[in-house]
Amino acid sequence: MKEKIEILEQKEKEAESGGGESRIKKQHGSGKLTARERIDLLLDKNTFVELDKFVVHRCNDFGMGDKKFLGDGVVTGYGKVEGRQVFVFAQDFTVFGGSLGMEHGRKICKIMDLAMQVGAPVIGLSDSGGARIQEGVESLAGYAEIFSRNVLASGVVPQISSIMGPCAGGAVYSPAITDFTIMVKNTSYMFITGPDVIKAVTHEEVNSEDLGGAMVHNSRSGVAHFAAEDDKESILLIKELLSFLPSNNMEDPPRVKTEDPSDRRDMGLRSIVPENPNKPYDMKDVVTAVVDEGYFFEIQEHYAQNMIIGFARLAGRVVGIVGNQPNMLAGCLDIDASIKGARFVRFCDCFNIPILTFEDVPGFLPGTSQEWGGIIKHGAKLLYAYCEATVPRVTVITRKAYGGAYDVMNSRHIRGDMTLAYPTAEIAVMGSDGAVNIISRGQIAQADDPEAERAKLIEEYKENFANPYKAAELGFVDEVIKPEDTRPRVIAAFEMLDGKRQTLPPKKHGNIPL
Amino acid sequence: MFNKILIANRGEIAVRIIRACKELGATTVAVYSDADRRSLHVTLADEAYHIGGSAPSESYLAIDKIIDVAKKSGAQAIHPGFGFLSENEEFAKRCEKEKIVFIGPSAEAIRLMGDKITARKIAQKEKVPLVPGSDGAVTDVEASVIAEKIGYPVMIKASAGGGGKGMRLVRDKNDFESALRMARSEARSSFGDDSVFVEQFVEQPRHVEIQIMADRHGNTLHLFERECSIQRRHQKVIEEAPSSAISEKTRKKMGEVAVRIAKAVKYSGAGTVEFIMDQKENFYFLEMNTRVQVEHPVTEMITGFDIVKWMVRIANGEKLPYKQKDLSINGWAVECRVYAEDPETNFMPSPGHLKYVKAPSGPGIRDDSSIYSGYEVTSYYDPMLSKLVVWAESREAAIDKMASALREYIVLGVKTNIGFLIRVMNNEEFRQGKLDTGFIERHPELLIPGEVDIEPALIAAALAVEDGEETIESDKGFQSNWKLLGRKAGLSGGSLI
Amino acid sequence: MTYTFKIKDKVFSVEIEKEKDQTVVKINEKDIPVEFEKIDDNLYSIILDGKSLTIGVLKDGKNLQVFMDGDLFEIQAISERDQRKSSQVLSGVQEIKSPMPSRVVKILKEVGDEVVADEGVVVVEAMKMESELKSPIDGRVTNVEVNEGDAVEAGTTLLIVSSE
Repeated sequence: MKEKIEILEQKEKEAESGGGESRIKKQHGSGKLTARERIDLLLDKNTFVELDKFVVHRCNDFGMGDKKFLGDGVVTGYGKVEGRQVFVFAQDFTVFGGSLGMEHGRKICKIMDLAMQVGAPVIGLSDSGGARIQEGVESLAGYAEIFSRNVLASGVVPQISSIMGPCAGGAVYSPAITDFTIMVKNTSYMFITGPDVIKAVTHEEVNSEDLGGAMVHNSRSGVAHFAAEDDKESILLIKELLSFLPSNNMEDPPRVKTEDPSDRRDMGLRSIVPENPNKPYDMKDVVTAVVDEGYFFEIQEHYAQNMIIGFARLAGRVVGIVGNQPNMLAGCLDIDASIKGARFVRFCDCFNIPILTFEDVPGFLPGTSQEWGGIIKHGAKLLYAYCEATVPRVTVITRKAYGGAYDVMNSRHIRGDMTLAYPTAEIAVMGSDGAVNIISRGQIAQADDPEAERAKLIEEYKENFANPYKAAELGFVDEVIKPEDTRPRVIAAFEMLDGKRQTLPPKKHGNIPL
Repeated sequence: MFNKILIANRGEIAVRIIRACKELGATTVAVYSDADRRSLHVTLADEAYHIGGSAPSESYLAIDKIIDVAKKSGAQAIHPGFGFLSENEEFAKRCEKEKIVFIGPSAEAIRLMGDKITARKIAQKEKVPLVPGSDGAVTDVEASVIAEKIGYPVMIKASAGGGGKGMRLVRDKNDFESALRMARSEARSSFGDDSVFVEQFVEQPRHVEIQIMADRHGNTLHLFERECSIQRRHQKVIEEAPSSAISEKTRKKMGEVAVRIAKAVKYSGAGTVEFIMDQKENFYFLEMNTRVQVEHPVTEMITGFDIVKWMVRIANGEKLPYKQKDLSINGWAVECRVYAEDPETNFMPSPGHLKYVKAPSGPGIRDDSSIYSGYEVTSYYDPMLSKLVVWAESREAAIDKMASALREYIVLGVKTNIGFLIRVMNNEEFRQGKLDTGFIERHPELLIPGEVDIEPALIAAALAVEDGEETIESDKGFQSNWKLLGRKAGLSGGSLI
Repeated sequence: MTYTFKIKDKVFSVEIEKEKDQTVVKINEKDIPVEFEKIDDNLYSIILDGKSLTIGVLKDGKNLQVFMDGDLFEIQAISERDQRKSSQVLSGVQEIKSPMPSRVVKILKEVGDEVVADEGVVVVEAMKMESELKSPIDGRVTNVEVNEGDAVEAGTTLLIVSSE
């Protein structure tokens, strides 16, 4: 028996040594942690159970037969994060550069299958050179099996990807399908075709960092949701993100204790929103004044900054925050903002996370680039996402709610549950100047002093229509509130809506304008 | 014995008295204010009655309310503890009128000793030593004559004085005139009264006091002295018995003097005669406290005499079973007052919620306290948390025991003076018994932690931060079948409502 | 995990490394093997090289009160993420770019002017809303690349501030 135990221990040691000491040193030298170190950081102490530790590849071509590593370049298993069950896989760059072969892929599929059966999140830590060329088409099969599971698991259990090294070619589609993607600055990149191919085909010269580095995908493409300084921060971000998510689509997100009283009023809110509609302000100041402990966990903070999204808590319960950002493009909706908001709203709806919308929107961004870029269909995504969401939805209109954008931003007409408005709110078909120019064109033209007439009419319009009371008369606004009461009112609304159940007509799935 | 006794106090002393009364077989009645519902004296007593608001004037000082409770509950006697109504002549009179026994001296004794001038006159009559000086205000000429007579250094003090205003220390005869002028002008500007008196300056004074026990049959004993020279903001912090500074001869003399004063006012019960003493054992009468003293435990520890229980017995008419010659001092006792206060900011009180409390224990260690894990230290009352008392065969051993017991004390949630007390115990001057009332002012270095190894604190902090990153209250969030059905219907697609 | 603690003015970096059967705490790069047990919500028993200590810790957000040997030490915890966010000290040459297609309304600084971090340097207008762009660093304006009234694309450099 003792001997047999020793054999087991020997094998375990071999599996845990990955690609060997020199490669581990190299990994550390490039500022990266090893797969096992990353898992250790992520999971609670002594909770990791590794599966398929002794799996090896079955390829004998190209001299691979005598190059086998226990585990085949990926560490998979389950464990707990802050006491909650999760499944995790971490690619091991020290073994075949983390390349994905048939067995490597099967290991990942196994934990994804388990995760879907038990209803627990899947966390993927990518660090891979790509397909294992030696394994040929089997490697492609490995990818595809993962993709299809990513899709099946989408909306069933949360899926989080952290890119902690290269991720190129077809491999990028797995993170792309998952709910959130974190990239580590300087050590990670993602692209479909690399700089060499690009140079050969289009003669563009670009390096990996500029092509698909962390900040590129965080600020320009919107592929990634977070940029971490290093591996550790990336893991911290995953843990923090998990604290806002339920384990699956039948559960509520975890509740945490808070010392922040539900009836806290913040007089500061009175001065954050300027009365002058042409003055910008930071919508995040409004958000932090309302949510628990002023803590707003922002998602995609570098992308489409005219729209803010993220998680926060109200009375200890998670809410998804969607807000227009008057500081950027006056808070206009454009293509990127619509896509950013739509995907987030759908995520919240998948996982029973109530949505709180802060609205100050003058409309859609005009321009040829927007029209030719398809703002019509992209804007429709946000509209579609809000319309179909059945989770509790509350809107706070801080200032402008103009035109079609008013309809889109979780209005009551598209099944929003509660709409609260500040006294500074202007719910109207458009801004005063524009409206007067259209409605009273003739009257202005015939006046002795057209400019004075225009100014007078604008003033009249402002007085009569640029306020929340027309909408309130019609019941489109449920309540006009003092800014300082936002927190207690919003908490009360969500408490009231806690039991909300609403369904969509039976269908296979809708046809969102993609 | 009384069947039922009301304790008109709160906190640690109320707990001490409740325990004594229970041991004597009496039913105990507590009274409490709004802030004290969760206090130990309420939970420990057999009966408890709410008497009003948290401010003392609305509760513990409200004579009518307390008398009402006594009558309603049928208490035959009231123990006032210390502070609050303990030295209130009116209250003692009222008890007499309502035929409730006041556990303490007569209202007359309280009155006589309560007035400083009367007390001084009685002392004078009884040939009790007083700080030499003029009796009352003096003219300029009288002042210099008296100063000459009592000898320099002398203190010039404003008659209406207080807070050090109008006070001048004169060490040399040549400075007297100008000092007197300045004292008068300062007194005039501060109090609108320029009358002053002259007193001998007692250098490096020590505070020594004698515990008196007198029954209602004419027997008056003293239970030796206590030394309470370690004071901050004129309040005692560390007390010990006996005093390391007095000879057997002085002890005997001081005891006799104290007994004389007590007898002069026909004192009964427990009382304390306080003296100021210079480093050459010359002592002078200060005042008499006509109540049980905070620091009474040190005397109990060295005499084996239960002062609180005997207060009750005496009030019940019992006779003291001892004669003076039967009493002797056994070993040494030290008391430290543990306060919720911050030594670093001039002992500012630090109210708060006590998250965890663990008092030291072991042979010879006594912790008179009323705190527990979960107790709220409010700002309405004195921030004293506990009186830690130790007994050992010698002074050195008692100090060592105190230092070690203090290190065992854990109080989380408020700032405390425990670290400061430990440093005093380890101070060489203190250990050698070189005490006087200026000790703390002379040793500001004891107020802050010295060069300590901070590493363990950092380690604990890191463990705590890592441990409580975020406490998830409930994971499997919903229990509502309503919601569950909604979700199921949502998944299968279909209309529910 | 690494923490940064501040006691009065002293800053310590404390890292906890938990291995299978041993916890090592690294304080300012010095390794200290620690054996510990949590014995109450706020109380830790710690054994350091045979020395047994009982230490209480109270947490109030980022402020910790540590009770050790009768004394209370106030420690401020700065988390890794907080620290990183604040330590991203910008320096060198900073280009102030237009965040969106807009019109330059007003240039508040001239070449050679000194600016401090968070001071406005140029005002742009888009969608009828004026935004003041701020210098991210202390420094001096070295270039002004646009004129008032210019229409600019997103990403156009408007002004350059240099800290040297």
